[in-house]
Amino acid sequence: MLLPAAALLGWLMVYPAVEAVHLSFTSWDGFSSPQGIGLENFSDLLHDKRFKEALLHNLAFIASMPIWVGLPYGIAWALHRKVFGWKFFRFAFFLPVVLSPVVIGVYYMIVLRPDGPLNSALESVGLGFLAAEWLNDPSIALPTVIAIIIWATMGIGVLIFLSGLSSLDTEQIDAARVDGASSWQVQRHVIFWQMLPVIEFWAILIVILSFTALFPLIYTLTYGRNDTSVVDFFLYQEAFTAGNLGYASAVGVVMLIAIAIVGGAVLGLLRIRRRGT
Amino acid sequence: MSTDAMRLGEAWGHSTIRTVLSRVKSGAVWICLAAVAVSALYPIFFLFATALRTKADYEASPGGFPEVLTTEHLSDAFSGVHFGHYALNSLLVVVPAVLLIAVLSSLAAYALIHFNFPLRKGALVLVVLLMAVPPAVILIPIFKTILDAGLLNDRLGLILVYAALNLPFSIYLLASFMKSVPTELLNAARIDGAGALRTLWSVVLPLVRPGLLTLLTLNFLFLWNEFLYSLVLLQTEGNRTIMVGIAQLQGRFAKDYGLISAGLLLSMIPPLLIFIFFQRDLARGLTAGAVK
Repeated sequence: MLLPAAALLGWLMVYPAVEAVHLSFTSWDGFSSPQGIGLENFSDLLHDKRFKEALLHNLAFIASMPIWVGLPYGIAWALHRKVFGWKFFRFAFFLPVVLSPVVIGVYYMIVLRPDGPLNSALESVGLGFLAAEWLNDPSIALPTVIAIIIWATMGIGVLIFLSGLSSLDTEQIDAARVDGASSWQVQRHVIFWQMLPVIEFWAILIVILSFTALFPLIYTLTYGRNDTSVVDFFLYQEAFTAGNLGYASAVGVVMLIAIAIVGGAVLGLLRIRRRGT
Repeated sequence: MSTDAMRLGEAWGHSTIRTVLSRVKSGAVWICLAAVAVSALYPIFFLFATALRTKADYEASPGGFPEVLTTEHLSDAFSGVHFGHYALNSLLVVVPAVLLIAVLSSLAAYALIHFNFPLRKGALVLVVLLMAVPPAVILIPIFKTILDAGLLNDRLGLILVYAALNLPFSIYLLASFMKSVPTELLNAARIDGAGALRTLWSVVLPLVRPGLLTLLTLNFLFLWNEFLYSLVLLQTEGNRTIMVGIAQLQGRFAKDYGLISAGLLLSMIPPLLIFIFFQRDLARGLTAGAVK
C-alpha cells in the first residue's frame, strides 16, 4: 500500500533532490546533455554580483523578522483576549491567506502605482507628501515588497499563535498573578516561555518563506527590477531566460545551505535568550 | 471625616485616570486592528469596483466608489483573453492532482501507522525530511526529469509533480489523524474478515473525515494558487493555467485595470468559496505541526 506513494516520491522528490546536487556540478543549457565542470558554478557564484545582491535582499526579508513575528503575535493576543469584534477580525485577517501570491502581487502592482489608489487617497486626505513611487524607487521598493509579504502571511501567523495561546498552561499564569506579577511580567516571563516553541516554529517558517516563496510576488510586482531581486527569482531567470540550468542548480543548492545556516542561527538566537533570562 | 473624604476623592481620581488611560490604550489597539482588517478586506471591494466601472471613472478616483458602471471588462475577460479557458486548464490539472494525493496519502498513512514492517520508522523520518524540501530548490532537476520523460507541456507531467510535492505534507497530516483510530477497531474488522483495503475504506476513512476534508481543501487551495511549477512545466498558450495567465496579463494589458481586476476576481472564486465554507478545515491544516 505504501508502494504507489513511494514510487512517486522516489521518482519526483528523492531522485530530483540527488540530481540537484549532481546538476550543480555541470554546465547544462537544457538541450544537449549536461557536461561535468566540477566546482566552477560555485566559484562563479562567489563572484557573481547579481547573485550576492539577491542573497542580501533575502537577508533583508529575514531581518524584518521582529515585525513579522511581533505583528501576528500582538493581533493573536488581542483576539485571544476577545477584543470587541474579535470574530469579525479573525475572519478578516484570514482572507489574504487564501489568495494566491500572484493575485496579491498584481493587486498591489495596481494599488501602488504612482497615479494609483494609495497615492491619490493620501493626497485627498492632505498627506500628499507621503505619496511615493512605491515600487519604482529603488530606495523603497524592497521595503515595500517586505511590507506586502508580511501583510500576506500575517493571517497564518495569527492562526498559529492563536492555537498556541489557546493551549497555554493557565495554572502557571494564575500562580504568577497571585505572586503579584504585573501583566507585563506575566507576559514576558511566563507566557513568552510557554509560547517559545510556537514562536520558533513560525520563525523557521519565515526563514523558509524568505528564501523560497518570494518568486511569484517579485515576478508580478517588480520582475526583479529596482533592487528587489531575490535568490529564487535569480534561479528562475538564470535557468529559463538565460538558459544556464547547471548554474541555476548550484543556486538551488546554495539556497538550501543558506536556509540551514540562517534557520540554525535564528533558533540559536532564540535559545540564547532563553538561557540568558 | 474631611480627610476620609479627601482620601476617597483621591482614590477615585486615581482610578478614573487609570481607567481612562487603559481605555485610550485599548482604543488605540482596536483602531490598529481595524485598520489592518480594512486593508485585508479592501482588495475584494477594490477589485469588484474596478472590474465594474469604466476606465474614465476609475481614473477620476482610482480607489473610491464607482459611479459609471459597465460589464464590458467582465465580458472581455471571457471573450478577449479566454480567462474561462485558463480556469478550465487549472481545474484539469488541480482536480486530478488533489484526488491522486488523497488516494496515495490515505494508503501510505494507513500503512505507516497501522502496519509493522521493517524500516517503518525510517519511512516516517523520510516523510518529515521530504516535507522540509522547498519546491524551488528542486525545480531544475524536476524540470529535467519531466523533460526526459517527454511530459513537458503535458498536463499529466504537472499533475504528477504537484502530487509528489504535496504528498509528504499530506501523508504527515493524515497520519496524525489516523493515530487516534483505536487498534481494537481494526482488529475487530479483521476478525470479521475484512481485508486491509476494506478496513481502510469502511472503518478508518470515515473516522478521519475531518482530516480528509482538511487535506482536500488545503491541497486544492495550494495547487490552484501555485505559480512557479505551472509557469515552467506548461508553457504553451493552449494549456496555460489561470495564475500564469494573470501574471502575464500585466505585460499585455498593462493599463487595462478593469480587465485585470475582472481576471483577478474570476481566479479568486474557488479560493473564496473554500474560505467561506471550509475556513475551519483550512485553519486546522495550516496550524498542524505548530502545537504538539
